[in-house]
Amino acid sequence: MYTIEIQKELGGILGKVLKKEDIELDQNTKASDVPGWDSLTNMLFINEIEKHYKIRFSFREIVKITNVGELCSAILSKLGK
Amino acid sequence: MGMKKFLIKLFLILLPFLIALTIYVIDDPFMVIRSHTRYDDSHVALNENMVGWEMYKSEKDSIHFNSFLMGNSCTQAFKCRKWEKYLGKDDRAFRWIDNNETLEGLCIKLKALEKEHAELKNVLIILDWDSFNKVELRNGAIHSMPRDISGISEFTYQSKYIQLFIYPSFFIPYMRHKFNKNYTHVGVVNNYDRTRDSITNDAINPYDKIIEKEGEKYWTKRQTEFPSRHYRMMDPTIYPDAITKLDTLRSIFKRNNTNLTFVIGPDYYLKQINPKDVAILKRYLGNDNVYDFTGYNNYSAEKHNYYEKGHYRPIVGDDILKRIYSKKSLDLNKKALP
Amino acid sequence: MEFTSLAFLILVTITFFVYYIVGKQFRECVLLVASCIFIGYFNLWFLAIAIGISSITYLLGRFLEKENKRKSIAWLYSGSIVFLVGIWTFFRHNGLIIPLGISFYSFQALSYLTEIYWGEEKAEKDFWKFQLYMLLFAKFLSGPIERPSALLPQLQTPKKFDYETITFGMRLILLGLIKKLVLADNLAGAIDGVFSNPQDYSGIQFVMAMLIYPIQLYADFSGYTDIAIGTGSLFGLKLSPNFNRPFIAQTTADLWRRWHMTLSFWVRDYIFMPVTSAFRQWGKTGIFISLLITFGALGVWHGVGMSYVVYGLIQGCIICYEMNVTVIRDSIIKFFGKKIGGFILMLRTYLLFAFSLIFFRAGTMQSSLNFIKHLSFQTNSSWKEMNLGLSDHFCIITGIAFLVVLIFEHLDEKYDLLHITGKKTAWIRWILYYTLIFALLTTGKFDCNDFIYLQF
Repeated sequence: MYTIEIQKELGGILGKVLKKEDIELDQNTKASDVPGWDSLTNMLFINEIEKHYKIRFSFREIVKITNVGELCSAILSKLGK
Repeated sequence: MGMKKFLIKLFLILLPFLIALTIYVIDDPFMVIRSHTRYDDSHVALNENMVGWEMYKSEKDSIHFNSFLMGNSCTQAFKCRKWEKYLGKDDRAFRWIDNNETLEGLCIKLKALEKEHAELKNVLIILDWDSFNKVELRNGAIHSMPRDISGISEFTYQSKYIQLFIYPSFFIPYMRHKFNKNYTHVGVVNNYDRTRDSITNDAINPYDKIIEKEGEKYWTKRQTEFPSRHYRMMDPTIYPDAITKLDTLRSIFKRNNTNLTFVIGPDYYLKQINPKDVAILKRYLGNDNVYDFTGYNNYSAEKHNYYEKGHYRPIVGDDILKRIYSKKSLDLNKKALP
Repeated sequence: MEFTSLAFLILVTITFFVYYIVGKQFRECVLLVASCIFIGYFNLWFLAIAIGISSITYLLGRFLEKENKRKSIAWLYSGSIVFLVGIWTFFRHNGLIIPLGISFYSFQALSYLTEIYWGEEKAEKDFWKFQLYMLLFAKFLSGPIERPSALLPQLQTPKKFDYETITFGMRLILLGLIKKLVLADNLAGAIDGVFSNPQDYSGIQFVMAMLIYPIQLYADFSGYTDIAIGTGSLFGLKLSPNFNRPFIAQTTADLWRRWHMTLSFWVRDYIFMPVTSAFRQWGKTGIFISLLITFGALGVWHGVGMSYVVYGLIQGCIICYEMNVTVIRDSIIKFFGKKIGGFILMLRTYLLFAFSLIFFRAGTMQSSLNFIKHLSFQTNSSWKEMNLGLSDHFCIITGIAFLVVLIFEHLDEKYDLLHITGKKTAWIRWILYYTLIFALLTTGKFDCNDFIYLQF
């Protein structure tokens, strides 16, 4: 799996959480760049990601992620890639 | 930029305020910074709450005041020495008022007198039909209670007066008067001689001398001070917050077995206090203690009974006292409405 | 000593001069001594308690960092939390006098230890620096609640005299004084009566008191914060902002990102995030539970009694509701357009917040419900009662003051007014300063009240 693929999938998952069309994300996208993506919806997003990839983040790991690029890296690292 | 330049700039920016503060401290225009022996010769309109209290405290040991003339500025029509003629032989009266006095102001004053172990044998209260609109103590330094009554800090107390001092509506007339002693601005500064009796704190209205000198011309020259008027029955103005204060007054008078006389003075504009308000006043202060002189009557119909639209003259006050204390008819031949 | 007292003015003035006259190595000491004088002036026990809690926190932080075993760290951390929360609960809810500032510096201590436990921060080794971090007088009374990463690094390097920073601070202090003395304290006179003597007021006056109270509270607390941040600036310290134009929020969630920010971000980072993380498998239900727990805790932080809990829970419930009705919000914007739709949402948010503040201000459930019962459009005699007994003069002053504050904040966000004012030519600045000082001196209420958040 490549980062680009994950990025695209994340856009779909985020869109599902925010009830919007697929959202375009790039490596530097932060929560503040996407309307509706905030501390309230972030955990829903993380939960959907965990369900989708069958992984589990610790609380500290979640908090340390600051942008989509870091999120992709964290997912890849959980997937063992 | 270094500290030195910063300090110079700071000093320059604060300079006007420092100058004003210096003038204030040196002049003590409101007579609240230093203690004074006399308050009757100030040319600045002083805080009546403060002046009355300070005068009372300085005299109470030598004169046993047991009768108090209270209320608003219309008390200037009543003289303590004339009131004493209707009281007991040894009764001595003192006037302690506030401009636009409120029920809370009265309560605070009476409680302060109680605390000083004053004998509240006789109390004569003079108010107007609209004195019950505002119940709480009036805002502003010129109405604030002295520190030993209110308990506020020295800083808060002085800040109020400093603030009043630099307010343009005071500061400008005050500075004008400083350079021109003849300058008068009503309610702020004046060029009169004494404006109060140094013992009883009775008001001395400088217009009495002017009326003596000018006669009828006094009224013809001041037409604007006597606008047109027409009789009106007013709506009730006494609400629960006022009733709470009336109840407090009732307790104070009952506790001290006070002979109370409560007068609602004649209004130049011929406005009549609502009977509901009178009924409430009588219920709390005593049926026989409340006297209503509002509306269209012998006093209010005659403009010569007034200095200006806000204040009636001592001839009215004297006659009111005579009627009340001689139990003369209080039927003032209320005139038929024109 | 209150921020608006002569004693505070004297303390800050003397501290300011001594701070910049002494050698750089003594500056931390000067601030610490000033802080101890500040706290001790209220009550020496308050100082003793603050130093005690601060010292224990310092030791706990050092132990947490030194400890290697994971289990021991967890126990030590849990024990620390129990201690700090326990001490705060004891003082806050024992019915006796509450040590000043305890709600704020306890939370600061909790944040410090949590960050060490999470490995995000290193324990401060310098005992005196740590004391200063906890006790700094500029933020001691009512915050801002400073994160260790925000304030501790600033205390490492002594500050030199910086004209821009100092004058910025003075401008901010002036702004804070205007908010507090002109706006908040003039409004307090009108509103306090309605809450303390409800029997004397008409239905419309209750409505007006409810609508105006958020403005009074904002002016009071943001005024305090401005003075706190401005005072920090006098000594070269940058304290965290607490408000960011809360009345433009279109949702309650957004309001809480703009209102008492250091507290709301604290509860977000240390309560909401861990709890939502734990409940995340429950989806939206997990979020709702987290919100109720978080805002319930926020309510409890504010005071003893159900009314404060209700105040907090109302916020949580509204946010839960808002999460479910984004469609309605989007429709409003679509139908009315961004400007009008946005205004409608701001108004709605403001009204809900004003209603919830009844529980905060009234202090007990009985008074809150009694207040709500009295809300109506009835008057005793005339619509003029809407002025709550304030004279026309005061209504005009407070109305203008509020408008000026709103306009200033709007422009400040766009153009950073406070900083660019410092760059204008001298005569423009001086005219502005004289106008503001004059307005403050002539319309400010100097005989008034404690800051509202002092009680926490």
